Amino acid sequence: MGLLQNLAYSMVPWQFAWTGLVSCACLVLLPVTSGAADPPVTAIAFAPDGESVVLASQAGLSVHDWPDLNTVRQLSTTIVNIHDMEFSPDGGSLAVAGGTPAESGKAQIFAWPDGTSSCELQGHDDSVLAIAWKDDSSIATASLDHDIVVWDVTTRQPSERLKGHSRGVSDLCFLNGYDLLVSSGLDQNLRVWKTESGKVIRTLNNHTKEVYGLALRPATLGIPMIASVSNDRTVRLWQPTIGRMVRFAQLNAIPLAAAWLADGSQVAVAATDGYVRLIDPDTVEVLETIPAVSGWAYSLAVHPGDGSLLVGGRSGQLKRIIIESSRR
Amino acid sequence: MSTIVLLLAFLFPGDEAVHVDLNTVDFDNRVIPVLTKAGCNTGACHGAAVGRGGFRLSLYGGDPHFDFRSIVLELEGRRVNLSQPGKSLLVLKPTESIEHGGGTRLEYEGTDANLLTKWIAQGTPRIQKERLIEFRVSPDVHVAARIGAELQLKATARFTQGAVIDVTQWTVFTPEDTAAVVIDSQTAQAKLLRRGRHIVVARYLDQVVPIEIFVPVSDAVIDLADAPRHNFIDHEVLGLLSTLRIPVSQQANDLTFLRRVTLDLTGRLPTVDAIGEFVTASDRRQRTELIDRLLSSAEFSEYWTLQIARLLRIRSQPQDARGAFAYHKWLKKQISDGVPYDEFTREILTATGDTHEVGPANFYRTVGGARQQAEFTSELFMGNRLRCANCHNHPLDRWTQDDYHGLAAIFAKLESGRVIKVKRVGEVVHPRTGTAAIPRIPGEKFLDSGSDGREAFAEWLTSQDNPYFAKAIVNRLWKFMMGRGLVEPTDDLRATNPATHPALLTQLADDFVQHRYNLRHTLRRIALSAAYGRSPQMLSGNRADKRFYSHALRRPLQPEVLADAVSDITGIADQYGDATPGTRAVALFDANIKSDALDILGRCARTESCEAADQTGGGLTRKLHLFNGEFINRRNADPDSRLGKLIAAGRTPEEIVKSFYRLALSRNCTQRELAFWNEQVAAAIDSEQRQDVLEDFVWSLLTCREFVTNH
Repeated sequence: MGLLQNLAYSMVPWQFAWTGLVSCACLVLLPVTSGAADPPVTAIAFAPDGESVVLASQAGLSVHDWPDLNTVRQLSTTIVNIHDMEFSPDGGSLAVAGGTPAESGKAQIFAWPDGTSSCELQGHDDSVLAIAWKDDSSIATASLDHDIVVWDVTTRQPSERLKGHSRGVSDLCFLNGYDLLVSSGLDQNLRVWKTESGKVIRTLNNHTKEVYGLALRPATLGIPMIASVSNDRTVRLWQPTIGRMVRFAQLNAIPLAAAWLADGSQVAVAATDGYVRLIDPDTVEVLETIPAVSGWAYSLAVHPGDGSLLVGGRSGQLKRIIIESSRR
Repeated sequence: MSTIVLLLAFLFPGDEAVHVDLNTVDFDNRVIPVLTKAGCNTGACHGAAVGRGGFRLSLYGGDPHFDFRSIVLELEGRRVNLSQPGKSLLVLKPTESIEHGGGTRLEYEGTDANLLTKWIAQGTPRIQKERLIEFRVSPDVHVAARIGAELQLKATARFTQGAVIDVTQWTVFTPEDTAAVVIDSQTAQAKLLRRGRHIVVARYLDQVVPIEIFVPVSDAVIDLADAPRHNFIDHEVLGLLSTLRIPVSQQANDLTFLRRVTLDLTGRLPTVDAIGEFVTASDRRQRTELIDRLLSSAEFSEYWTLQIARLLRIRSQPQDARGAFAYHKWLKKQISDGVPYDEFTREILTATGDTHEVGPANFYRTVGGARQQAEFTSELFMGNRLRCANCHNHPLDRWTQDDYHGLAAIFAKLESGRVIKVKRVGEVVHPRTGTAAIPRIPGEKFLDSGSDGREAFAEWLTSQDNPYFAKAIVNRLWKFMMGRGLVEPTDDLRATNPATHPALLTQLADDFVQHRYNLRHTLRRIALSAAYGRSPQMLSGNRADKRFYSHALRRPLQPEVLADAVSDITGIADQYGDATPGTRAVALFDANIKSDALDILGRCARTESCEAADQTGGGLTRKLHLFNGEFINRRNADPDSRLGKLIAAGRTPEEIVKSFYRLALSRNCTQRELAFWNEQVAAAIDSEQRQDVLEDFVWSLLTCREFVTNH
């Protein structure tokens, strides 16, 4: 019995021919534009209740029911290119980040579930690539302008501007119990910041090329662990509180996004070959290599309830991968 | 309406299927040339190794796959906006609709910008409808009537489907000297502003071709019909001089020729006896006999061992001189025995074993690492700089990263300690793929990864139809004899750096191959030419010529030759490290042997190519030491010196002056010179002062330009 199950969605014929190579796949073409080609799905965020999922692309924001992925509604946004989304800890807000390339970067906060725009946070000179909530009233944005800005959502004002990366900042995550913020950059480094002081307390520099993303392991016993994915074709596992790189997995494709399964037993990585790999953090063994989309797989999210993976790729491609419950 | 031509287009792995019709923009053949023409992918812009502004393209569009990835896929596709194509960064930046460090590169809503927008609107397909198979420019050679003339350049491309397209609009024309040729980038109209020979490089897609433009040096036509022509060399040299309207200097007199050819073939000054014999008769047959005598001498073997050793960079390793000794000894035997150049090259390339015993195996101890070995090998034996293809496909040549890392992969299997042997494993990582590079004969074919590829490489390299091997060495021999390579630098032979005399280079190479890769034969061929025999005395019409051989070029004596010459003239030999006393500098096997004299004269350490060092002649340090240092003064003051012995033997100052002129400059002193020195000696009030004057005389001879150069 395989570890993966599959569901079938409607597919256009040429996509079906492609996915025919992978019988367990479920692939949909997200109809987001009327142009010759749909833009890539660049961010995915599951609603806290798991009943819907928000998808982002250059075509905007759309809300889809789960698991059928029917379009429920569009959210109106002023952001041209969206790169990241995250729900607030209390689930009452959705933060969307992106910008107008080479001009400005911003975040937009939507009240959830009604979807009304509650505020915009503007203060970057280039697109925001990542956004992360510290708590329900505080959020951080990471931009290609090399800066990280921590915002007070209530006042809509920046409370801190963290400078240290020498190139664009690609991702962020807070280690709240430790008063730490971890960022990754196109300068090949991870930086660990003290959130209270805004000072860098350590730089983790084992990657040899740009670092594209981070994923914080769900709360488990022991020291917090973060996975980072890089253009150097590695997935590295870190214990940032002590500045240690624990181990790394070398892949034969470039990983672009990472997400942990809900129980923290495996980290899922989407890559440029369109596959998702499930990696055992203890052995860094690639346990499964699952075909997901054609071409680069940019976005990846884990459903909070059923543990499914949802993968977004070029031309509006989406794929749901169901992980057997024993593996979640 | 649209015609599906999917099967006629090349799709690339990893790309989604796309509907391709006649209107679909061809990324490789249309989009890339727009970026190249606009200068986006030059080394000064996004084509730099680290890109610019976070955006990196392959240099001159040499790697469309990489460019597609950078433009379309990186950073979640932020550089193209599929929903609003006109708002794409790829369009906004070069049209400077938003701030752009590179300024305005494309006209807003112009043809090129609209093409980019159209391609984005089509969904950024990665297709190549057809492949370029031939790129031509017209004219490829042009002789202008006058300075200030204009010339319309035109470029055409032939593709796999047979179409020949005028691609002038997309071709980048780059003059080698922008002060000599100015080209309107929009119209491709060239204006010629300087006299001489100029090269313009035309680039379209991954192909580059040179355009040779001649603007005669004089407005008056010259007639070189009566200039001496001894062999095919002279036909080619005089042909170009006629085109450029540069007059030729007379043939050098016999003593000048004797000194020149003796230095060039043996690294020594002619002896007094040789001078006496040579001046008694004067005809071409005598010059031929002289050349043959020099070529068959032991001195030739000794000296040309040094020359090839410099090319091979033979030198001792730290704490280990035995390898260099074995290598030098082996090389000297090859030269003495007249072993064909291709044969001993093959032996070098395929050598294994204990470097203390197997001389040629030391070739693999010369540089460190497989990549450096690939660079060294290609520069030495092919006269080609593959090193550019380490980071990107060579922008001005055919070499790709596959070629560079493939050649390195051949050498990666060697274990290079004292004993050179083939390992079972050994690889270099191809930076583009991140995996082991596949061994490859550059520009030819991939090899089986499991075997020692050196045999196949050596076979290809030394085959008669190899386009690089013979040209690389005859160009160096020509440079050695004539003072300037037909191609400069000598390790940079490529289509876009053409020889000043392309047909001559080809003929020399063919002649070399036909005569079984015989170094002596080619040296003889050059030495017998009237071009080689010309006087260094310049005419008003050829004074500015440094490239076309209208007169002989003065060349600084190599440090080893100068050191030996000073020893010979002063009669006081230098001591080199622990070498046997009396060993000549040209015979030393180790370039690192202790010698203050060779250091101050600017010897080449052979850790890098010595060919650039040969041009400088040792520089200021050498001159200061010659003028003020102990190098000459110590020997002059030695009572055992030639001068000291002549004085002790009671020779008159005039006899001494005449003797030294013959020895050092290979000629008699003129009446004016003799009168000058007689006057100086006569002014001395005693014998001690007279000796000082004579020491000054010898010093002045050994530091004068006539002595320290070959001319």
